[in-house]
Amino acid sequence: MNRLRVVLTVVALAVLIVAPIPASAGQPSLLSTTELVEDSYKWDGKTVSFKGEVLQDLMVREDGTWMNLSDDNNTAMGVFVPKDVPVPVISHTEDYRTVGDVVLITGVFHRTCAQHEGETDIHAVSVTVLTPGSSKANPIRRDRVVWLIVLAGLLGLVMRLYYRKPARGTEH
Amino acid sequence: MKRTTSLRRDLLGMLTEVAFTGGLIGFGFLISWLFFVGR
Amino acid sequence: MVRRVWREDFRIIGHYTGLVTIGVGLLMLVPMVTSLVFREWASALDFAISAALTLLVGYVLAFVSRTKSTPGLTHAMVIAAGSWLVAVMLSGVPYMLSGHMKSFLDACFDTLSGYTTTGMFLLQDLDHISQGLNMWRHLLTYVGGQGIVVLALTFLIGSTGGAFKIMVGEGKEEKLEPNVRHIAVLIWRISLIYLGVGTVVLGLIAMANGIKPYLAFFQGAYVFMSAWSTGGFAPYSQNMLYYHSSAMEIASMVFFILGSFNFALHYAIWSGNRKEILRNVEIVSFTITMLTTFSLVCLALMQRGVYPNVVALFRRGFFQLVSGHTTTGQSNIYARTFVREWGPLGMVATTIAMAIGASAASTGGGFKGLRMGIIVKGIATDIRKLLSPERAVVTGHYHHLHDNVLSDAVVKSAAVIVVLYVLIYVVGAVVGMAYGYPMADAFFDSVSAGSNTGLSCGVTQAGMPTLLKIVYMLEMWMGRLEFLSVFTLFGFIATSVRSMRLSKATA
Repeated sequence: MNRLRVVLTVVALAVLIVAPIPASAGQPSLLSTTELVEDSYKWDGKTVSFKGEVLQDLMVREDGTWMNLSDDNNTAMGVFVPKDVPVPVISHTEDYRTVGDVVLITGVFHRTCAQHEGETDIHAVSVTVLTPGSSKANPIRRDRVVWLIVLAGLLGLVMRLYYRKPARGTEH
Repeated sequence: MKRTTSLRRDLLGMLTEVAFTGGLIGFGFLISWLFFVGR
Repeated sequence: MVRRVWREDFRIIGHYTGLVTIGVGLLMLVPMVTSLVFREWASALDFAISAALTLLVGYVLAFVSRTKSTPGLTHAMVIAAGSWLVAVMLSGVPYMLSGHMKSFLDACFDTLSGYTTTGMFLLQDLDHISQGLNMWRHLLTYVGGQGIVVLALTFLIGSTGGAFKIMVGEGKEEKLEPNVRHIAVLIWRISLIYLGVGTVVLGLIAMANGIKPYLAFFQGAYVFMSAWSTGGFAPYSQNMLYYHSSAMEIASMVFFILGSFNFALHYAIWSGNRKEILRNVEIVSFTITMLTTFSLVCLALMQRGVYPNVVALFRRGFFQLVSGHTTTGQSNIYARTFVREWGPLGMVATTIAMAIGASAASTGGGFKGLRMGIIVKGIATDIRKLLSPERAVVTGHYHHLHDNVLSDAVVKSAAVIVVLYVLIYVVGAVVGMAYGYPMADAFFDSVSAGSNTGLSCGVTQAGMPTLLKIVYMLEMWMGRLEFLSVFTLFGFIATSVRSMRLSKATA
């Protein structure tokens, strides 16, 4: 009896260690634009998670809304939110003076979306705001103001010299 | 008036060019359609 | 060159380069005002500083080299090539001040790419730049397309004789009218009218697609400038994908196809000679090569089953190919998608389209349709000569604005330039391959640079090898100026050095 119990425990442990343990049932992979585009065939039609900053324009169309989410230096993905999917209030969209809301979406990735004439996009099924946006400082640097004054001053000087009527005999 | 005929020529010129370009684009669509249908 | 004349040469070159530089400085006021409108104070300050610096350099140059002489042809060529260098470096200052560049070389790469209407960029984090900087980028391509030199001509130079020679140096050799002021004004008139129409049309489309009105018209202006100049920049990193709008893409496509036409053709059509559009050798050549390369693209895409329906095949395939052929560089697919999904045949067909390029005397690059037409007809004429009885006189003709004789000299000069383009394409590709890039990728980006297209398959990015950056920059520059101006510049430098040494020896 003892031996059987030991064997069973060992087997149970082995199974637990070796078998893949899902973190939480059905959590879609969080991917970046680069990963999605590089492995577009792999992810085509699959449900994925994507996170990014909402860029300037939220384009409301007839059948839904387009968001462009920036997730890295020079990469961004188009996310289409169909009309029937609830969208939280997006308080800030990116521009020079604003940091946009960072939003997490889950949805189906399309390598060449048939509905959108071959676009590479994600059709969202859920949208959540992770980090609300804020205003960006963009301070005016004092040393630059000084530079401007100096340069403008020099420019004024040279312009005066340039436009001054030449004195007789000095024109080469 | 010289100005109106010049404007008219400009407009006709623009229309000619845009129409031609539209034709090229249409031709392109035809080709893709032929390839798709003919596969 | 006699010693006294030689010093005067420098004055002429310096003075006119100075004038062009002043033009560039004035141009910087546009993005400055844009930033003020959007209340981007720090960005406005950066442009104010850049403008002040550029104007300062321009006035100093013009003042120190003050001269009453008008430029000769050699001077004009040197000014055309030299003023590009000065403009490129000074135009990079706002980029540097924005903090979005990894190095000054990168900034020069971007400004050169702008002025040559190429469209490749090394700018970091494009999605987070100011409206002012976006205005500047797109303005560079618009102005570059018109030729920095023509800009200066219109506003700063009174004389006509010298100015015509400067424009010839720019590579726009059509003899439209004897008076060059007239030519410059005409080019500007057509371009400004289209700028107005284009901005409104694209702005309305953007608005209809959900972009706020005041932003929509700026976006419309940016996209128009990028299209008309066949530049290929776009305000966001996703390029045309950002808009998710076929209307936007088609409108832009109409403008970039038009922008790729010869300005002499525009002039002919706008003057009433509308039949020219069907008879012109460049249009015929473009139509044939465009439809042929597009057929190859369709073949490749269908073979690989890339797109699910006709509309997708057309919208992505046609846009990309035509963007390449007109050497524009706008795109509605991701760069890596292009490489991975289109495959070798698709990439090669697009590469060939880029290599052939747009029409002569346009904002586009590449061999030019005119040369393709001339060479093909030249070959056909040679074959006819072979087949005809010995005493028969066979002359070839080609129609460009009017009927032209296909002389041996014409065919030869077309062929020489084509060979030079092929040379730079190959050199760029070889350097790329030497750094380990796959052949198709290395060729694609090299041809893209040399033909001033701007599509990239991923080779062009801030992390690329410095030597390759420089090679692409040389390609962009030489490709845009069609070699002659650049050779003259180097020739002039070599001659000056030699005369300096000579005069030192005899002193």
